[in-house]
Amino acid sequence: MGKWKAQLGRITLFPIIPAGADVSSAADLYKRVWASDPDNYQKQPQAGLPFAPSFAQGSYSGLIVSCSVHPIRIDFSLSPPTLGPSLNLIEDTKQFHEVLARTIPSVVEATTTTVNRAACLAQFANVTANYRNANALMLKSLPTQYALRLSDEEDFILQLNRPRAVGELRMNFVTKWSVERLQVLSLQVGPGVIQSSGLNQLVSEHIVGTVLLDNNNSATARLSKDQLSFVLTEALRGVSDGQREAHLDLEGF
Amino acid sequence: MSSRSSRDRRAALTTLTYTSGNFLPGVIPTKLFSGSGTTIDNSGIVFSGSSPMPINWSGSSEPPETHTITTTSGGFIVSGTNSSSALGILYSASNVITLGTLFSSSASELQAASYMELSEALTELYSLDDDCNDWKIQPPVYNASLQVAAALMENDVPKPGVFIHGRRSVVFNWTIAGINLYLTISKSKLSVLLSSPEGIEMRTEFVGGSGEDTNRFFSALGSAHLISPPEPASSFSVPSDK
Repeated sequence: MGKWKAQLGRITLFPIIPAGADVSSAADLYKRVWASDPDNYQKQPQAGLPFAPSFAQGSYSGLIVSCSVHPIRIDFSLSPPTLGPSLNLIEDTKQFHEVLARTIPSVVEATTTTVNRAACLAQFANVTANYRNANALMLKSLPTQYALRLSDEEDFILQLNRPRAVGELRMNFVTKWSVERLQVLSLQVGPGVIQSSGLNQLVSEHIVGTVLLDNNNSATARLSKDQLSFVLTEALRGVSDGQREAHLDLEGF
Repeated sequence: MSSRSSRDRRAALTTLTYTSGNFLPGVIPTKLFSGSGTTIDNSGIVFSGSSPMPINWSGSSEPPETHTITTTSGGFIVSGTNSSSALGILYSASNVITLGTLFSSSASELQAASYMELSEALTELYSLDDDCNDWKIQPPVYNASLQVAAALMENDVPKPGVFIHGRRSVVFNWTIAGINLYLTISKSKLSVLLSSPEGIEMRTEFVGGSGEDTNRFFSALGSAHLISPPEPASSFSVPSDK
């Protein structure tokens, strides 16, 4: 069976509602967090979708990083570099962890919005040949006390929350195991290009076992900068612990 | 949308790659207070060719060739770069479409369309000329009302009617079983008032930062079977004494 790799990392801040304070644009936050200009920026559209986020994206330490600012949440995401028309994953999990850990203090420093919840999330993936292998992968990762039996079932999902008090705060530690069928659609775009490939060249499918760790605090009055830092640090620590308990054996965690 | 210069159009081929499947944490139910899964569950995709303004790019004399795909469904957006192998990836949620999903998706689309009107009404109130001083809502009130409106939409609450008392607050209202519900939103306070023909039935308020989780209130509103006011009242109006 293949190696577990990182698929997505995300730090999320949930502003207090209502909080009438001005919210920074995604581009401003991006620059403050990752200390460089984004490659792309889209301001909040005034038409089309209601309350659509402003969005800034670029690259940082070999990863694609993005910031989106929505009225009720602010997301800082890490995703794999796009290397080819395939399922892209983050190979270097040590680097992934380092960037996530480095991003936390920058986010805490950069944020001017009053928040009452914060979250750190990471999703890991392992590409397999078929559902049977993916289910076997899940069985190796699942807590043994549930004694699940899986063979060639499809679309397996199990999610648990193991909340507990951490310091003065109550925190949620959510783990989700799932087997996914991912489709990758590749389109060539350019002047005068007529793509003559058949469907098989356009669409590839991948059976992927995934483990998602989503850790956050329950809503509180407001998080001070120290508390915000504490929550995100504990949430990231929870990701490390969670991946260890799920037997993912990720380097750098 | 296409705003590329002819020089950009001569750029190398770009491959766009879309990944679908249960890829994002967006599958965490949005009303699950323990998760941070997407709270932006009203699906909609904005595919904007090369349109996003590349701001202040550095290190290259050429502007980046961008292909940006934006989805609020998974809350995830990725775009290509200026290399010939540039890729954009769209991660969408859920590889199993159940009947329930289909219905809720369709309902969400309707909800999003109606909330677009509300968003535009709020923006109109905020963008009034300065000589409409009594009507033009203050920026903090605008921001707070957008937050509340987004949270209502998130929780599938029918679009409220909207009116103002002045610059310092916005009022959303609905009816429920002959009772009117008013949410008055100011800079950092949310007042809730229920009134019937007999008088005020209930009044309370949430102050931002008080520790009360207003998301729980919005979630509860989502199951309260509120009714949007009749259409003519759903556009904002200004009290006659203003």
